[in-house]
Amino acid sequence: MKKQDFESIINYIMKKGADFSELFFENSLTRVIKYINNKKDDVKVKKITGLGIRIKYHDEVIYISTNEKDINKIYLLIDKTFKLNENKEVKISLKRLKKYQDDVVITHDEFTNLDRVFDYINSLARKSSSLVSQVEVDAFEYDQDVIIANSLGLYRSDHRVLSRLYLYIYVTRDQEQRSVYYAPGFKMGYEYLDTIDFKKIVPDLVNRAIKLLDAVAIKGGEMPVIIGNGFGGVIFHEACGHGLEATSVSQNFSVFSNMLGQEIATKKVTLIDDGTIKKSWGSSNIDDEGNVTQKNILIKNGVLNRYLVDYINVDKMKHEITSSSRRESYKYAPTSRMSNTYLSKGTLTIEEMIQSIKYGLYAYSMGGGSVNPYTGDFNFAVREAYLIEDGKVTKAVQGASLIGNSKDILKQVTMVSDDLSLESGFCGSVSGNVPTTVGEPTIKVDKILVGGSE
Amino acid sequence: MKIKKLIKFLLDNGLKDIVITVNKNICRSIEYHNHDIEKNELSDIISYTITALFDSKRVNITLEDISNKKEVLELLKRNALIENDNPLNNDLCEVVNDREYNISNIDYTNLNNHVMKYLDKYLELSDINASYGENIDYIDIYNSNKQHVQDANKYNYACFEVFAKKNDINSSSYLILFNKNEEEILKALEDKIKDVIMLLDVRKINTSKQRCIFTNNVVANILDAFIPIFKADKHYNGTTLLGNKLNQRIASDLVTIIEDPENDQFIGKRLFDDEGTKTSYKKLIDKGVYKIILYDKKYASIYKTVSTGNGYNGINVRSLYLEPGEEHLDLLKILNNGMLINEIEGMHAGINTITGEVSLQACGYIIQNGIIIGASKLFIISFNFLDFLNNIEYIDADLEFISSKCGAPSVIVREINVSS
Repeated sequence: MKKQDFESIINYIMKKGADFSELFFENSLTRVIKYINNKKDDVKVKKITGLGIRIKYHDEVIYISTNEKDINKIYLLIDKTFKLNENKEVKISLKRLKKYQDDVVITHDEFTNLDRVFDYINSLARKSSSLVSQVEVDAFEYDQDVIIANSLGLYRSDHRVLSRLYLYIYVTRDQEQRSVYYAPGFKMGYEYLDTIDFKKIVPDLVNRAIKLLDAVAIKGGEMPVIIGNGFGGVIFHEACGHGLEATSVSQNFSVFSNMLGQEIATKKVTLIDDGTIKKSWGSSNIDDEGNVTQKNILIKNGVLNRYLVDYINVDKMKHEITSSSRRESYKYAPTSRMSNTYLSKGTLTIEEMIQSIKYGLYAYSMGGGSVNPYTGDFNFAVREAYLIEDGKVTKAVQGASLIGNSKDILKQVTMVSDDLSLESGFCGSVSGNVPTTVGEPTIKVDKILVGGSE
Repeated sequence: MKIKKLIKFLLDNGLKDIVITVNKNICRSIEYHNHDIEKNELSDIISYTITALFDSKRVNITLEDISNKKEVLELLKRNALIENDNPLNNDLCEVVNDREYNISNIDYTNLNNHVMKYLDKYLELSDINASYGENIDYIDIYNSNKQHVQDANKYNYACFEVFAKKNDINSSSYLILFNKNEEEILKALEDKIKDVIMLLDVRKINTSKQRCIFTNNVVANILDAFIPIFKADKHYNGTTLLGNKLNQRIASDLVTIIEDPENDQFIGKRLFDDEGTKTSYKKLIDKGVYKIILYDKKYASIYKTVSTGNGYNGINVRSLYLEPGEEHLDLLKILNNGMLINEIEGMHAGINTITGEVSLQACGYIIQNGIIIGASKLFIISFNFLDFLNNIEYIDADLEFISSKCGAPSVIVREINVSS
């Protein structure tokens, strides 16, 4: 689409009487190459091309998504959904196109050594133990070009690159099978492979999977839990991250609505959402409304400092914009979402935390979770866990869920270590699935409900 | 016709065995906040999935723009990377359903006004978010043997988020309904409102093993999460908990799991899959015995069998369900003492399809002497999926679908671990 096409559509909408309009044009390519059974098994490629049209009229938002290219047919779609026709005098000109792009050293097209990478990982895993029954490696490549234009004259483009490696290792003994999963993601091209020490990571994953074969069931109930660093940050992503997004706050559908300036967590909790971290999976140069991303301190020493707010909700919430507007693709209207969300680090060690617990759980590796922002009830899954008995880590435990309430849990974080790390994932919400990272240093939660099957 | 021209162009440039699946989706939804329209959405999107052979290698791409044939060809050639070890049969079934659907101009204001009357009727209700919509899917498949098949499907839906508040306590829940009339919508919504209000006053329960009623939506969600265990690719890769269990008893003899994509009554109706194989009625589990592995063309070729019509760009299902009982049961009376579980959360993370372990946040009712005596929430239910299937004691007749993929009736299950 050319600049004059964007201007024509925006002027068409504003002439009808809209208060605001925005166009999001996207051209993106996703490729997933799957290796399993000791060979390359499948390649799936998806190229999407389309336009998202957002119209605001008073409190109503109209959203049209289409891959129609004929501008007259686009006007028909607009007329079908936005029936107002005030025939206003308007002449909106877009500013000069401001271009952004990710720096990539090895593009997805340039890299041709994936077969060797897979063979190396496969061999490392299978040599680690004869119990390894299957190894799957999926290489995920994502290249997105977007152009964003709106009735305020904004006209920006961004070229975004993401890469991720999914590694699944399965071990089998006496017909019992267990698996572990490792999936680092980056805002990079294939140069990311140089940042991963497979020689160390792969045998460690195999050992962890084997330990799971001996995992025992525990009796569920409330207990102190140490939550491992990295993906353990999902507790904050679920317990308060979603509750601080304007999507729920603006309509008073969050337990944290109207609480700015109030103490909502212990003083050990400082929670940050930062869309600017270089090369990080959840980062971007501009958000999906075209605003340059920024670092947002959401909770500072336990006090609620800021919400995540997109353009549509700025007036409703009387809150500054935080450049947090995101969407999965042109098929979704954007809304405020997290990017890289992490707890800032403390000073203690993991050993100090373990020694403080008579009976509890060490949740070493976490799965995803979900939350109801209105009630604050959240859950997340534990993939690998160990019992803590008399200040020592003992047996592996069968995977369980941890659940709680946002308002309570933030006040139960009493120990924070110094080993902050961030890990990649996808977050699903009203504007689709978006890449996010979650992170934390290892923490101790004094009391949380653990599911058990004993 | 641009698809046929594209096929000819690709054939002329060295590609073979070409199949192009065209999916056109039109979706309209209107979201209300109280009596005001808050969001009005229209989606009109077409996509093309092309599979072919180039230089004896297979390729699979999905595109939304095929106007530049040379670019399409380049993309196909660049991504033809998989050896064609197991040639596919790309014949299409002979089915044409040329039904035409239009997005209707239903005015939902009247229905929504009736819905919003509940805000006056139930004082604990603080809000209802309502959205109503229609979805139309057209599918056409063409191949280089000049075959063409066509199908279409339409359904409407109503989706509610109900919010209640009493003092400092909030509760809320979702409800989604497909192809229901106004009376059915209002009745189901009122039942949901009562559930949400009950959750304002919850009791703590003890960690214990309980006999439970699982309502139809809960059973459907659990079944949906375990669909992968029936797939041929998981069997081939050795990553399913049903490996080596074909023709063995894996469930109670009350349990029959059926896939019925041809059934007009279900929103998942499809006459053929995305590869052009005719869909069919089949029993994956028949009276507790595991009978059928699901195949697409790729894995049917590997196993030297025929596709079961489950090729949807990978193996998947439409209109899969636990066979309901023949008559409605008074499950509360039959249960007598235990829990009724009517909502679960954490599906995408609390399920392990390798081990069958399930650990989920839940809420529901406490049942004593066949009567609901209170509600409870924020507890965890834990069980193994195969144990769940074996421990089903009663199945009601209230089959409901939660999506085009999956549905179930309510059941009574013995021995569920409840942690609180």
